[in-house]
Amino acid sequence: MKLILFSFITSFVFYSCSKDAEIKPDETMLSLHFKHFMGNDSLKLKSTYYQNAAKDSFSVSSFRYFVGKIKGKSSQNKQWITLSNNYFLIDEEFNKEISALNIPFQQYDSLLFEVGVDSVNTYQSDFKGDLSQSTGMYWEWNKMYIHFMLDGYYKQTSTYSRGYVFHLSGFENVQKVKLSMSDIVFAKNKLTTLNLKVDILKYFEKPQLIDFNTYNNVTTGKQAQEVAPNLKSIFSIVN
Amino acid sequence: MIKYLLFPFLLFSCNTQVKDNLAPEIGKKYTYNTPSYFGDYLLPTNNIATEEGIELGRKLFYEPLLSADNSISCASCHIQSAAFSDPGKFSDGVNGKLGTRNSMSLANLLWQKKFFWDGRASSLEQQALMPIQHPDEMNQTLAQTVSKLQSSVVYSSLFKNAFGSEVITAENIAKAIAQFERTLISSNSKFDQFLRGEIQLSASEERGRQLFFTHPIAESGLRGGNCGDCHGGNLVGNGSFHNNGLDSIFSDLGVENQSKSIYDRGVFKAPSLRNIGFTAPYMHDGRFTTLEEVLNHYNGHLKQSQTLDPLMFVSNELGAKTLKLTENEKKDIIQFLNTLNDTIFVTNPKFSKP
Repeated sequence: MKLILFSFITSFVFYSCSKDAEIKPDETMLSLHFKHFMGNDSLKLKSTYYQNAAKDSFSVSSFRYFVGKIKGKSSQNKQWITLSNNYFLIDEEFNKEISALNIPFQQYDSLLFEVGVDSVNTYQSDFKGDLSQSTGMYWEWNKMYIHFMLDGYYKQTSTYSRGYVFHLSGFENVQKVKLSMSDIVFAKNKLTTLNLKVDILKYFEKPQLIDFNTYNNVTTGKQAQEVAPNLKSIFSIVN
Repeated sequence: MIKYLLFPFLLFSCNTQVKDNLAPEIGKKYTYNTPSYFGDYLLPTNNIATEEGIELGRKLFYEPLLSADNSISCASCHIQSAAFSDPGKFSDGVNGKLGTRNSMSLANLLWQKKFFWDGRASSLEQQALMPIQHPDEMNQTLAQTVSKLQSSVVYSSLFKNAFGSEVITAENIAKAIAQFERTLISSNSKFDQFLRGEIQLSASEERGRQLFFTHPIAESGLRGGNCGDCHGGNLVGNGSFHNNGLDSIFSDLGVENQSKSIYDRGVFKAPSLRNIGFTAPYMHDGRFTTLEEVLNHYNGHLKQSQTLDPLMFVSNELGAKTLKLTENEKKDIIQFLNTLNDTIFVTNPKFSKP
């Protein structure tokens, strides 16, 4: 019953749009800012070539991914609490923030979210907002969202750059990311901003070493399943 | 159980403006009638559509007074029978001048965020005033335009009905034209009937549909035309911008003209392909006259350059540099493309010259 009551209450909080909704006495606010990096350098689209762990030289034309099912683990009772049920399209070019979610006020040990859109939320999608079909992140042919998009060029030879495409899709490739928040102190009625470093170089490292001669057009299927777990390690909180 | 009942509400997105919830200060509010499978759209909060505004906008769209020698209206280059594009490669401006790009089709503009082949306008209101002032198009200042319209008794009353004042402004000209253009919704093609579950596509059309949207994976033998990566969704266009391999040396720099970035060289908008059978010739410079030529371009004639889009390297064959579809596959895709033609749209009397 408690759980039902809770989902009932939170549903109104989110329905009424967290950005504009008035904050309730037992709530506080959380923003997530995603900072895209190549190792220690801020990501620069198109102009800069980077080197991955496989020693391939590559550039990035577009970098986008879905973040959803954001939860926090309560420090008090160790239960996972839903912080947002929306999906957010994070895009190097257009939007790198999830702004001012109204969340239950308490302390949290951990942050949990998913990269990608799971089957339930795909089948039940209303195609509104970030889940719109017209963002280029929904695929008609397999009726799935592209969870993670990384496109650009790699130097196939010293003089010839070839395009590469990671459009990771497939429900089995949605990745759960868990990060410690035990150092973050939440205060009542005060916005807390988490800065998340997203290191694209780590995507190429492990568990699957990604070299462009093998992996240059990855969507679903075997290759996608091999590389998708790499997404787990690219996020860290750097507050 | 209850959790799932609540689910639709939980998904309600916060980034989306609740559509059409504002009342106009004057006039009868107009509600755009759009199919749900096109998804939601944003409307400007400072230009709320009214019956009166749309009526005015339609008249302005067909009004040659907008051009310097009173010879050309918006509709001269956006011809309804061509899904509001121009069957000519380039369009005639005043004084016999010719443009340098093929006139774009106007349909389902509610879902577009950037306009022109190079995306230089970020709203329809902004877009509408540009061809009026362009020396190779209508070649008329906004002051001249306002003054010519102001001297017409008909327009004084139409502007009063739409905007509450007989005093005509360039801003209101743009607003009215934009309101009319947003009514140009094309949703009665065979593909729409298919999306609504009213009909089935023929076997060839259905094969073409699958190929059109599928991103191929050569390793696993999954075949596709990869068209949907740029012309995706039910609108058959993402509004994204790409260099699709037309040239190695560029006479038209495309988006680079605006951005001054060499990484935008030869980059143009990937338009929606709705009504594609009515909108020939194709590409920003109208270089292809048939869909066969277009498919052949992607299939084997891509030109290399520094900005050739990464998606252009995707192939049905390992290591190949172009799509490598078979002749039958190309035929099937063209069969599907022709299901995007909406004859009701191109003959709808509500969109024709008033």
